[in-house]
Amino acid sequence: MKGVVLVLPPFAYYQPETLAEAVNLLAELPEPKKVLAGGTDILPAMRKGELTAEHLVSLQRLTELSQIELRDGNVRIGALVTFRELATSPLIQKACNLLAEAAASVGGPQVRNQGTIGGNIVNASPAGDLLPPLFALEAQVRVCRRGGERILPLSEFLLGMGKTMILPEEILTGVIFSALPEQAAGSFVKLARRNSLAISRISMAAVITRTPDGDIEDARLVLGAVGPRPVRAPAAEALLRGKYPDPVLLEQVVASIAETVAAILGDRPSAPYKRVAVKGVARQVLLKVVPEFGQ
Amino acid sequence: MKTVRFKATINNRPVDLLIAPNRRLLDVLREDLGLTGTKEGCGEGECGACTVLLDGRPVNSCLVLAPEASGRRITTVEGLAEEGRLHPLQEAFLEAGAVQCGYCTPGMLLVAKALLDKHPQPDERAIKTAISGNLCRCTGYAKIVAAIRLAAARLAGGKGAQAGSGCAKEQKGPGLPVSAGLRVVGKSPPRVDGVAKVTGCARFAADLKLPGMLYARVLRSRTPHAVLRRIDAAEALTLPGVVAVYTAADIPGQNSTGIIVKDEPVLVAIGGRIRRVGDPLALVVAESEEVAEAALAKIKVEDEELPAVFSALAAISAEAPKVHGNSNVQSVTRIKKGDAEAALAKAQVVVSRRYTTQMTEHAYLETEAGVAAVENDLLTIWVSTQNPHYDRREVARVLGLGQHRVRVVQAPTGGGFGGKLDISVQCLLGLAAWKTGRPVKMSYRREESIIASPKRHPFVIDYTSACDGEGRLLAVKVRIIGDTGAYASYGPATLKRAAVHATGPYEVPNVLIESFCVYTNNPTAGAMRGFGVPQIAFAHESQMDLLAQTLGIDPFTIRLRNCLKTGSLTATGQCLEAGVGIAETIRRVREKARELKMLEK
Repeated sequence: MKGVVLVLPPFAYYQPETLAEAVNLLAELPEPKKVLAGGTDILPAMRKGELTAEHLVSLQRLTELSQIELRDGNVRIGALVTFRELATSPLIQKACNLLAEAAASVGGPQVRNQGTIGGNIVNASPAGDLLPPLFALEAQVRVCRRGGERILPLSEFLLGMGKTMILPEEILTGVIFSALPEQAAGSFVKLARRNSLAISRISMAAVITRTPDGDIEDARLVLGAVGPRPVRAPAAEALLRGKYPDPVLLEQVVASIAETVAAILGDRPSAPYKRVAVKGVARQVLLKVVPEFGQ
Repeated sequence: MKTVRFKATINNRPVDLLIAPNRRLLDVLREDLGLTGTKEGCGEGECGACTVLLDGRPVNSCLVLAPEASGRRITTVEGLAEEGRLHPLQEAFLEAGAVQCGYCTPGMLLVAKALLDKHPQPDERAIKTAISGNLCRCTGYAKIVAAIRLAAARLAGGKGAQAGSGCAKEQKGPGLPVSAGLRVVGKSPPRVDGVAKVTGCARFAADLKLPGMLYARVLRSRTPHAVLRRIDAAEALTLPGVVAVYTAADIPGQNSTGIIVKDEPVLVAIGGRIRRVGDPLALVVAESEEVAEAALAKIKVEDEELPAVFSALAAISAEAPKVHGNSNVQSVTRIKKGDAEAALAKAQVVVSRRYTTQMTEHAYLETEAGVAAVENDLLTIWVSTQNPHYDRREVARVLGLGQHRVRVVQAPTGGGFGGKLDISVQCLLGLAAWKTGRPVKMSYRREESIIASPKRHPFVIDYTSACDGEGRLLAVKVRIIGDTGAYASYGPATLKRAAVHATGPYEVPNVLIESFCVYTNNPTAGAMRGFGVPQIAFAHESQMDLLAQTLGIDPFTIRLRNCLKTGSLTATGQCLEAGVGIAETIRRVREKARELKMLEK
């Protein structure tokens, strides 16, 4: 059967107590080595032989990576914060509700209890549900190794399907982004084959900032699961800027997003479906963010 | 590999073990601690059957590396009942009929417990969210939701729990006494195996462990159509822990199975034909499942690939590669009543359409599994099955034994839906136990279950219907082509039933129906809920809607005008003498639809 061996291969397991200990360990261990957070993606991948690690470094004891903080207008989320914690955190719900909405849409309750934001980023799945909202929030990631830390935009860190800029001796320790200002609103919508335990077919995150008169000052529209990594829809964003939202504008923007998506999808087998379905997703998310689009 | 310490509190008891780090929490619970109430359904966190509570929160134990659960508080289904008293959730599941096959039940109970511990009065939405990570293939979820509501109400009422205590007492019994007789007619007696299923005590086949037990795994073909030339197991046999590798040459009796046609080999013979991806080629028997799996990768197979056919429509053409013999048409059913062609030629309205339906996997939560053991020259097989008597006959034939020397015990079966009517592990387990003289267990991984198990037949249906100006059916002409895949399984019967039901619940004076059961190199199709009828119902009901649309009449009216009634003659000429309920059913559906404002009028 396709050479699939569904047994976890042997490895050495480490459970450092501090971040310093963890990065030291990673600096010294030979490859192949992997960092273990929630494990919901890594374990099945290791059983199927899609991922090999002779040394597995668990982050479980690093409670310092489990914090959610709002400091100087910046939201800081530790890598070990789970989907459930994101979905239910009053701080996240207030400062960047779209991230809470995306977290609540992941897998089922069991996976949300276990999977982490750090894992979702490093796994770099094209359908990773936290990635579009983090793109829309223009998040940066913090990556640590022995003797150093780098902070870089998530949009640069994510390279494509399963690929990021992380080095084998590095640990992604968290993300940081500006909390949404008062006059901004955001939302996330996901289309999948069923409501739960489902991988996104298409997702979209939107952050829209309004002027005191209600005009749209700025828009960040990000699509998920239509390419190897999330993509912005700059043409649609430009259409929105400086306009007052109404149903006519909504349909123009939806059409523009559909064009952007069609261009990305090319002639992939899912293209005929996604080209049409993305319109529904876009309409839904824009109406959630700005109810005036429907009036 | 260096072991690590696993020290945790499981069901309020301390546990302290040394384990290899590459174990899942699920494996440690089931294998090291014997807590087999926690089930494996998919191994990927998609089904929730392996749910346990970790510090009070549900997680999939197949996705938790065991060392990560060290130092934590773990609750499994075995920890729900306290001092022999069922938890109110367990009682409610029994009373509400939320337990059927029982395989999803432990996981469902645990997510429900986690919910009620935090939110004692959840609304329906909260309940549905709580169970949204758990699949159930039997109940349709409604009874599970009802059971959780019931338990919540009881727990909130405090004393209200008394309402259920009497019933719970009844359910704690070992089952109904035979003498209960007619006293249960008209009542809802508790399931005989209900208590075992809500407490995690029910032993499904994969939960069984016998002393000295070996583990078997099947090497399967990767090519869809080929002649098997060579199997070289020499390297696999050198692996420590491998006991034997069996091939077709080791089968003492008939190397064939099949409920209707004996066309499927137990193991493909050298020089014999591989007819689908997943055909069994060799059986590895080893001291552990890990070793058996590792040995599979060491077996070398040489085959000579043949052109394959993957569509039933292509398979009926003369040039198509032949899967068996010199025709891919396994069986044909023809039903003729009156003169359909003549009626079609004269009819006012004629609608013709092609309908295609897809292959469907049953996806029972419990994969195929069994244990076989020999004692006093008697072979016993405990197996997840829907067909123990057939299993016994086939195992006896394959091993060349009298049926009196084979005993098949149906283990609690975690869903079947028709998919466990065929042979899966039975004959191979019998062979392994008979040859080695030791107990042998085999349980399919989900991937293997999907590759190896029979499916619902995909159909291509050409359907022509004719009616008069008032929508009265005059004739139907139907051609059904069913793809039975590599082996017949229940195909001939499924296609026959589809033909017999092709007119639906309608009286049609002129009928011409032909159905073909066709071999291809696709996965085998067999029995699945409805047995050919759901596919054809999709076609005849779509046709009724199209006729109604063409005539501009109401879809209920056209159905009522044509439906079978007492005295009607069916397509096969049967006169229906009593108990024809379709008109009443349609009327009730219309009433309900109106009540729910689903109709415009």
